[in-house]
Amino acid sequence: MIGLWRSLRGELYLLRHRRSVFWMHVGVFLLASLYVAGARIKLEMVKAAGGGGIGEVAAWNFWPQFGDGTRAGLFLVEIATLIFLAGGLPREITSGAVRDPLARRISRSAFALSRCVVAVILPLTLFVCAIAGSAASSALLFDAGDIMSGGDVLFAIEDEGIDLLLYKSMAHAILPLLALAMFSVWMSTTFRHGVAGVGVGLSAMLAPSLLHETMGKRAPWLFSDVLPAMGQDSFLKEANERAAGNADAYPYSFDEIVSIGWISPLPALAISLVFALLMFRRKQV
Amino acid sequence: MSDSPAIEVRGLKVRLGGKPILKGVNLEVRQGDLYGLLGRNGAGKTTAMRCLLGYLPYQGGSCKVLGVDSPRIHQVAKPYGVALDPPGMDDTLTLRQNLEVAWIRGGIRGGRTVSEALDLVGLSHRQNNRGDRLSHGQGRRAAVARALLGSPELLVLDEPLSGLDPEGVERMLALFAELTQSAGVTIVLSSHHLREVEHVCNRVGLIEDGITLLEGEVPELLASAGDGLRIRSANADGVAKILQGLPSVLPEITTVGAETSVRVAPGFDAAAALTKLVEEGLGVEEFAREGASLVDVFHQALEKDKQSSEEAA
Repeated sequence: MIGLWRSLRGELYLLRHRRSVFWMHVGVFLLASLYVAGARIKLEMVKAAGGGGIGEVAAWNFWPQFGDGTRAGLFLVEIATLIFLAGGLPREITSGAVRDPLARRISRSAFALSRCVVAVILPLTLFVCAIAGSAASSALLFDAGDIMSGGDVLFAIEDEGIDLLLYKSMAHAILPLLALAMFSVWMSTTFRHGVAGVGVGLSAMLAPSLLHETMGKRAPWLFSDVLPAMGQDSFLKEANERAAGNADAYPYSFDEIVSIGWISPLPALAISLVFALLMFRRKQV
Repeated sequence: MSDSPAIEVRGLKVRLGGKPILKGVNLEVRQGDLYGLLGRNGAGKTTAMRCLLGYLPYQGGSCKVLGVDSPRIHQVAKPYGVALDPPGMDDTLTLRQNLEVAWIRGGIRGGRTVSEALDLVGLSHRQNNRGDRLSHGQGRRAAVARALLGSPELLVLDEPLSGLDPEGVERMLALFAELTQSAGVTIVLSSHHLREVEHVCNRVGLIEDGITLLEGEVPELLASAGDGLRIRSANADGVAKILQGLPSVLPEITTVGAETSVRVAPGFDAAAALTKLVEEGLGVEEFAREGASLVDVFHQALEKDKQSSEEAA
């Protein structure tokens, strides 16, 4: 059996059996669910106080809550992906855990590549938990269908294509998440201490938000600008705004940003993969 | 069994952070050896092991494991096991899971199973404990169990006896001896337990300050170190004076209270020496000749190295 396949199987075993990974999934599911439950409680309180403008009316609906809950879960997904992947390898090097796989006639390249392959699975399964938690909670606590006010259709969800927009924006989240995972693995093979890798990774994640005014339309070329939760130009954030009835919230042409955002994580993904492999080749373990 | 060495290290040089750590390590471990790598803390034993396993790049010399250069060690044809310090247990997994993932990564199909390996090191009852719930000694035994999975032909073990209780040391040494004698496994182990190593290892190498000071067969090294002579007498100074004039008595004579200790070269005539001391009326109360130990070999080599360094300076 070739080393890459054996290493891949080992990494998958770790993903399945590590307790920290399991609890991370539970945490994301709970956060997404509780966020939606919190929104319901908040709306009930506003209603009881006699408040409730047009914004609150729109919020009494499955779709905006489903989008918001998913995005809340994704905040944790992005942070967890960075911490778990960027901090993982340095911790394994310090504890000596990385030596055994390399003593199993697995080359460094095969080991690093298998880690990269499995790394991209983690944010996806976490993402699924965020969607599941949010969907379950939203379905229990809110009704789907058009947004109504006093018997009138205020906002026709299906006619406006909100449901499709939300699905599309979630599909759009996949590539930036994969790029984040690969970038995190690169950080883990580059820095000796996990905290340094996480720190640099976090800086890269926050840079488009902090420098958004300066970067303008160039920002989406950074993969972290289109991350679904922390990205300044998150499509999910935009879709959620639209689901809540704020169609003109976006500062510039959304379609233009979308066209950049679909491809911008790809170079980051490829560069991170190459550097992750290169940096591990001569790493002291 | 092939005649080529299992491990061959020649003039190994390593610098870490600009500082020379290994300045010329030479080791030869033959197939079927139970080889003891000795040296004080910081001498370079672990660094040498990391280099030969391909974990650490080196700047000079050569390192071959089972005929393959260390940087390409993944190309070796035969399976080998490694247990370095720290043991490298994944704290988020149970002990059994730690071994299972090693089993999967090794693509092991036969030989020693996870249960058998845990049983051999006496950790079956701890198999469901997480890595961080193991004591220091248990962690070492767990790492050895992981190295034993399948049918390794070579084991590289860094301080496998460290942190073990006397019973554990005995059990581990018996296991190593059994593996070498019955299964023909080549074992390299580093240790500070010189007395224990002396009883099981057939060859040893001594590293000091990044250089191999000596290497050889244990019986030959013990013979070359000469025997020890311990004499108890009320006139210890007189005894020391007489001994200095006798042939085959090595220069350094130690006197503590009534006891005089000295090392003697092979061919020393103990009967003649005792007769001489009695004839001189020195009141000899005890006259004992003791074989050399690895501790003596170790100290002699260090002393010799110190003297040659001083002479060179």
